[in-house]
Amino acid sequence: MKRIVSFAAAVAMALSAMLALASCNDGREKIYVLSYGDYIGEGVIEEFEKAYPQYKVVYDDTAETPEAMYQKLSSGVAYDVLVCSDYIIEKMINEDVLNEIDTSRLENYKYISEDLKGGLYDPENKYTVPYMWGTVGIVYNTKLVDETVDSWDILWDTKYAGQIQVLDSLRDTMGMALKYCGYSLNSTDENEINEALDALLEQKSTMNPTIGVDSLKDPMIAGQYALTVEYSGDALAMIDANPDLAYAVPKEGSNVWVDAMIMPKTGKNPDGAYAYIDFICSTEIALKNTEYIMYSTPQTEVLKQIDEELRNNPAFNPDSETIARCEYFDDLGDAAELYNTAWETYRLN
Amino acid sequence: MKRMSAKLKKTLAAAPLWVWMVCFTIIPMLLVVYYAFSDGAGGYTAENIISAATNSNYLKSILISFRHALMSTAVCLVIGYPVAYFLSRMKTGGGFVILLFMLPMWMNFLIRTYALKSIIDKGSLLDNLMVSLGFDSGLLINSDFAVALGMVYNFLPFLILPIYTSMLKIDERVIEASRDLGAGSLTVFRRIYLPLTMPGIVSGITMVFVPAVTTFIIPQMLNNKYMTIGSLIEYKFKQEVSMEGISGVGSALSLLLMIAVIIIMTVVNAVDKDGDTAM
Repeated sequence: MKRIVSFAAAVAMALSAMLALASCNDGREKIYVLSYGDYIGEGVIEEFEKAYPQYKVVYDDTAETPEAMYQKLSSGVAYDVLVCSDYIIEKMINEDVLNEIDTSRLENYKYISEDLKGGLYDPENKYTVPYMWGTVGIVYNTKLVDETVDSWDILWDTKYAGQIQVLDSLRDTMGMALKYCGYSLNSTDENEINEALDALLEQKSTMNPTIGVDSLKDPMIAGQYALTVEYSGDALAMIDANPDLAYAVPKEGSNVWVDAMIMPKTGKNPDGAYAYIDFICSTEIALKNTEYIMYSTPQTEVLKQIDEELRNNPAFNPDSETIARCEYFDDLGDAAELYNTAWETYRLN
Repeated sequence: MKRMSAKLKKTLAAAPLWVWMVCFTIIPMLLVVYYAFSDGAGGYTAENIISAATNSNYLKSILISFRHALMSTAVCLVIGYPVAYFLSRMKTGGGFVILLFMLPMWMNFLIRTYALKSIIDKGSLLDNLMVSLGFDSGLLINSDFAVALGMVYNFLPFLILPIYTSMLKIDERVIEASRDLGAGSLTVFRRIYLPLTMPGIVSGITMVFVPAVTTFIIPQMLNNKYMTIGSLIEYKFKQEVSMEGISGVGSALSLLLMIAVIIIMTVVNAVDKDGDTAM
């Protein structure tokens, strides 16, 4: 069944590729780019095509999740550049489907922050050029919380019972609990995972948390809750909507994620891919992308040029020390089953 | 010859229905059965069913879902039956009031539920009112009450309509005759209304209970502390479909739930002696 579906998908994609080829054969070399929806500044592609008249970008943003990207790539479509998420990139590196990137060919690579190079997903920094990044932390309402928010402990403090919201998301919430208990959020130790589960169950019974994902934002913006676990990108948008809100990455550490540009081996236009990646890394374009997407940027020059208020916001620009405390998600391997069981126990009891 | 073509016409007229049923009911159901017994590599296995049926956490979520559904159906019935009665007895304006009941149905139920959440959430209008009456803040949201409220709000019209229709069909003279023969109000209700509206009641209960057992958006928005069976199945599919293919356990849970609902509905339908349900 799966094979039939992916075959059908491949046929459909080949057909659409052929159509694109037939309709637009103006002698320009094509660069196939796969990225998430709404994940590039307005007009950036046109500007690239103006700067490099020999190339035409075929931009595909139909994949909603990194898993969907992975499936698209393994169905054999030849993309030259992918913007993908760290843990799937790690999987791709392990499966040897990515080209190494020769950073000496990228003039603008020097602007990428050292803090974000060599993450767990690409420890030797051979395959990836960071595009956007972010953390998971606590959004809090400064009108309802007097003390400094700097620890996961506050989400277990019964003073705030009934006033907290946590994410309905396995890795994020298990990660929070593991960090609260003082362990790695990639722990594969059964005892540590069970301890985290106990902490979550305790939180559920003593704190009466609201559990959700997208539904957490509006009540928090409206000032109805004191504390909410959130992704830094969403936190920025929430703070923008309600200036009473603030964001903190707990001192025990949290999750840090990176979306990076990669070059699959199946790509047929490596020169074009280098040109495209380098263009995206140029400060002017990176600034444009950052201002549009509003996620944290790995570009040091962009940080200097961007709005000062944003630069001083820890949701947008956490210091190196904070980043160092955070961990990337790692592939769990066989321990995934332990996490599943723990998560189901938490969600059903 | 003429008869043949009439028969053919009839068959052709029914064709869209059959195509629809096959594509959107029969094939999906067969797929659920297939994946429930598939080991993901083309082989047969009973493991999915066993792990779905023996996991005590899953059993708990099924029980929670049935509790929610029973509670909501009961409340719907208690509110809906008298409403249907008064509507059917209204000389004028009954149609207009029915329209008022149907009006919210024209809006997407997701939006309605989201609106309800913002009304009963912590720090909302109703919550502030409760606080000023001396209750704790945040009492309504994340409670069984919130889920029941959401379900009754969403499903009540589905129960009123069939009962209302069956009440309209009751001949006024039958009631007059029973009164003449000395029947009290209770007897009239027990001997006339109840049996004659039973098809409507059964169909109304079906229309409320089945969606209430399986809904996942309403509990997820109003009380997401415990996954209901609908949420669990959704989670199982979302979690596994991305990388590993269709969820076997998710399909097995769907199958078990389907069987449970069919059994219950068969029992409920057996109560309805006419077998005249508009299910």
